[in-house]
Amino acid sequence: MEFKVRTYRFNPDTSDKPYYKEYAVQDFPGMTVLNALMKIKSEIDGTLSFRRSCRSAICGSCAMKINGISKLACKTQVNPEITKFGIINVEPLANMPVVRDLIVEQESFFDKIKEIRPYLLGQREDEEHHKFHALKEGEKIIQPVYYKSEFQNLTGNNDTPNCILCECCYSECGGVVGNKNYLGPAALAKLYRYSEDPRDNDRNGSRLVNGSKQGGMWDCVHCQACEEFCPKGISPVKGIVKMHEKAIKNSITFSSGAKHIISIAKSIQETGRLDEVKVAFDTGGITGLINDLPMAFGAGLKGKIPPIRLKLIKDMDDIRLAYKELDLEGK
Amino acid sequence: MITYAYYPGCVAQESGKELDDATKFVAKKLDINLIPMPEASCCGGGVIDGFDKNLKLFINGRTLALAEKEGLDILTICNTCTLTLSEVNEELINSSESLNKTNEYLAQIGLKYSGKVKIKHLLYAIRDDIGFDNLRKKAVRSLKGVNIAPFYGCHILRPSNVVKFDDVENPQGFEELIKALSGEPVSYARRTKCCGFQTILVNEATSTSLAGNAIFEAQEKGADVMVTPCPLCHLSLDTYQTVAARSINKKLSLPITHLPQLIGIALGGDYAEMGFSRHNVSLRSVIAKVKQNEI
Amino acid sequence: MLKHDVVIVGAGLAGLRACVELRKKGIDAIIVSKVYPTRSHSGAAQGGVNAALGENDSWESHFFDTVKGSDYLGDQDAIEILTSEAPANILELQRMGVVFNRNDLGGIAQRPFGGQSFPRSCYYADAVGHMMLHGLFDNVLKYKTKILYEYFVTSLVADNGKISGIVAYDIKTGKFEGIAAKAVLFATGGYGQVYSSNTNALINTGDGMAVSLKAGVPLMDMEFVQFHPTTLKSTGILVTEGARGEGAYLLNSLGVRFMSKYAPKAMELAPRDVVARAEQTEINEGRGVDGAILLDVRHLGKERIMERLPQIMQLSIDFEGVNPIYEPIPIRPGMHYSMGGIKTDYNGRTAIEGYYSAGESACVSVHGANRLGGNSLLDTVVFGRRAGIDIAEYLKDAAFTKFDESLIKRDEEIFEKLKKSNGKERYGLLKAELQEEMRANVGVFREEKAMKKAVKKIEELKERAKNIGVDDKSKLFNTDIVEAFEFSNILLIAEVIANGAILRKESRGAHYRNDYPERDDENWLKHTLATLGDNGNIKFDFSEVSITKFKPQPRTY
Repeated sequence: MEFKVRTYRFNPDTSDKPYYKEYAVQDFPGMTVLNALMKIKSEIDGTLSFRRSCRSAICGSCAMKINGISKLACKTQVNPEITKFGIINVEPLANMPVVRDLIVEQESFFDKIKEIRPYLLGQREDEEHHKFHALKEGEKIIQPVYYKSEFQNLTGNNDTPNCILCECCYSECGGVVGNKNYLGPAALAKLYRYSEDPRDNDRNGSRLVNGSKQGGMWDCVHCQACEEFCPKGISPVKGIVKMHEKAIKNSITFSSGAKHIISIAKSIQETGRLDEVKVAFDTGGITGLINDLPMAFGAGLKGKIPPIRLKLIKDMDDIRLAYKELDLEGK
Repeated sequence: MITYAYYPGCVAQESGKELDDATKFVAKKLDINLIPMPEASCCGGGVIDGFDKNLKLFINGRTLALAEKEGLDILTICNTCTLTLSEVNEELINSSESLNKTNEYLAQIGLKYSGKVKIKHLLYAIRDDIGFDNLRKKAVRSLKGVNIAPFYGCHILRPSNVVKFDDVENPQGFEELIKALSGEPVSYARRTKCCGFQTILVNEATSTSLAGNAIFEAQEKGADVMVTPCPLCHLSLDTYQTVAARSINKKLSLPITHLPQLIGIALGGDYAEMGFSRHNVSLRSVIAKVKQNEI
Repeated sequence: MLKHDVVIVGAGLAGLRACVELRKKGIDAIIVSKVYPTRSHSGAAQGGVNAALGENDSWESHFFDTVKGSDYLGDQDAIEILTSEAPANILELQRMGVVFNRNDLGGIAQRPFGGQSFPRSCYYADAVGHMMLHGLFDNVLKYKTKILYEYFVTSLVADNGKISGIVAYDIKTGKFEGIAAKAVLFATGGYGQVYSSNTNALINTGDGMAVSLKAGVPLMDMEFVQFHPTTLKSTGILVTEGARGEGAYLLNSLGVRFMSKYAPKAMELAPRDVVARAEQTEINEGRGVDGAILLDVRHLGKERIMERLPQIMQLSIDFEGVNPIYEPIPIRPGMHYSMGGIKTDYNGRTAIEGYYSAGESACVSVHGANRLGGNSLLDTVVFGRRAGIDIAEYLKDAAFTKFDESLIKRDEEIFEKLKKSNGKERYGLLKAELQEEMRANVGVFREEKAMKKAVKKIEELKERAKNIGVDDKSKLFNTDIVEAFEFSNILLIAEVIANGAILRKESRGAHYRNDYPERDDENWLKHTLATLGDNGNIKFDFSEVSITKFKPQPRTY
């Protein structure tokens, strides 16, 4: 079968405008999009530029938009794409500036990885005194003990340490579209990975405190794109939500994001419903409400302001019992 | 006639009342019997697991059990409710630990859940249980010539191993529905992107820019109107449209309808009864276009 | 001109490990890498890293297994270091944040690997290379290290036998840059792209070895090329030895576990050279399945496959269209690893003072004629660490030497000339011809006639390479020019391998000659050292093997 590859082309060295260029490629069984691009580069047009390395979905180099979705070119088969879209349309990842053709500038992405302090803070006490030494004849090493359960959130197939930093999630992330300062799913997944590490000695909870600042974990828009499009099956958003829970349980609630969630929980506890006005008030405080005033006013004129006092749902005691059972009443 | 336990969600009963009204109108026209669930609670707005994961299981397990007791599937009209209920359903079906824990709570309030309920969003309930052909037959007004931009939003599509209605990479359900109503679906890239609602109260400017981008793109592609299956998206897209315009520094003026409002028009609903007066952006231009088809 | 005390070229495991050692002492060491560090090929290592941790295991046993695995060509002083430092290195990685799977006693879980007397491969499911690479990279970030990524190194610069620095091409801008240094470490990995059907990343083009050779540094034992027994039939993508460690069977077309014929005791867990030859024999004698062998893990059950071999499962599905839970995986031997490399001592030192190498690019030699699975990751951290320590010591008395800046200009001109060329040959196609030639004629089974044909082919390709045309004339991120230059490195390495293989008239480890099927300790228990003659030809010399504890014995499994 011959199929078309439509490529995004941009080289500021030779022209300041991006354009698309099409190539006709002959397929072979099991051909991947990366195979197709390599074939174009080696046989038709050496100027087509893209990153690639391992070709087995572990190095994360060849992430690009394929028919509109961020994927690894090396693990995306040509055939199903053609069946679905009739063409292979390749474009650079989103949310990062394009350097050339399918290559994006990744500096901001990796800066965010650095920002979350991606390493163990301190050492567990019994590890602190350990010194490296080569074994002498007949000598054996003594290992520190860590049980399986201590690493249970770090050793599953889809757990965050499997992240390859390919930037697919970052490219698809709704949070980053809106807010260039948002850490994004990969960095937050890494934050989660270290916050779950039994060897981490983060005595004052600084990880979650720092992670709660502007641009941190509360800026997630819950669009689920990071989970959906992760080529390694990892769910950054689930890690983010677990950190939300952990932060709130540890009273790290200074962020408006935390206040927002607590307010929703409280509203449900009191009425069984989500009280839009009260939640808006609790989340933003007075300032937030003033900010929203023109909005609220505009909406109000059209009768959109929701009722101030909400009717309770039927059998409200059921809900109260759920809070009681989970020991959440005073939270 | 098909019967569902009707779970409109909070917003459709509060600031988005027009959505609830339009849904009831459409249901009547399509012979859908909606059984109210006055005991059902809020699903937690898509963020309650950030407060306590078990709370999410308990309150939504209860909603599922209420429907199961009646032997009914649940009809939703909000993306986030759809995802939350579906997530809990999946977890209760797949994890006996979660199911047991939840049932211990449910037992105390005289309920039990066994995993029999299905969650259906109105869009896909019409596709699967009514059929777009039937919808076409029942339409009395044609949306011919109206360029309609479908805005799927997130939680009706993703994660696709939980909400399994459509092809997450290239969904078609919405477009098919629009075609069944003789409308022109507008093709634009951001139809499956996020509206930003979840952080609208946390970070208004950045969050509304998402809605702004989508509206702008649809506008540029010639949309007369945008339609959304989710009242939260509707808040971002319509109620906050002025703010969104400011966030992205572009002129925006695109009417946004709830899904059942659009269907409602096609099924002959009174324009005034569709509740468009509650919207921020006027629907006048769209109605005028539809009216042209009636001449 | 940039100036740093230490320049580490390559950001895989060996480079990063050395870097951590230097940076934690506050030394001005920077990383220069062709790709962003996390894209390095170390990340693709799957199955395990060896260390004698078990109660009944001993490092001495690991020592012996490695010597035997090397077919007695490994240097025993170095292997003693490798194996006695292994356990402490693993624990140190663990302290740095690397996660290993755990056993029920709270220790690090270990699985059996080929040629090892005990289960001593530590793992993180089947992605231990990935785990170690990212864990070490995180530590490099911790020490706030300057990283020049997407820089392609074209030359070593030395002055009177002392290192002066490197010349590098900034791929992003197209500018050449001289970087002066008191010490340079090459951790540039292997040359898998010399062969078709290899498990290596596309970036593995033997650059560090080629640059070293051109700078007069000898390459050792380059004729020893490891063919991994289990690579996916269609793509050559690696299927970890850990699969067999977990109990997988190798089956021929008759459904027979043929390893009983070749290694009755070790069976599927014989060393890689033995298994690869057995497979190739089965295929050659008509008992293959469409030119492949079947790797069967079905009897392990879904749960164990998903827990221990998740990546393998996914790779098989994505790249071979086979779900190993239900079907056996078609595999065949594929080029995997270079036992040979830049000759170093056990502190990473080379023939040029202040110039070091570690990891796959180096030949210490701990792997001799055949590397055991799980020993390469170990090699990277043990000798990466040692090189770091030695460099720190070396710096105490070292100074910057004169940097011959004309070399920057020279390399720039080479690139410019290449760029201007509108020749008709395409490097991509020449590369494919070379790779296929090497696979067919300098592969698992070798003989003089075929290898001479390969050398002739290489000569022909060298000639045609003079007529390579490069499409991309621009400066910015010009990968076309980089790939064209990489091809010249591949060609040079291929030449060394083929000539070394012709020279060595015996069969040892991975080097098997149909025309000399026996090991010949009397004449060939020695290392080969390749250098570049003035006329551009490869010259060979020899050096002694260090034999301390274990006298050579017949090697059976």
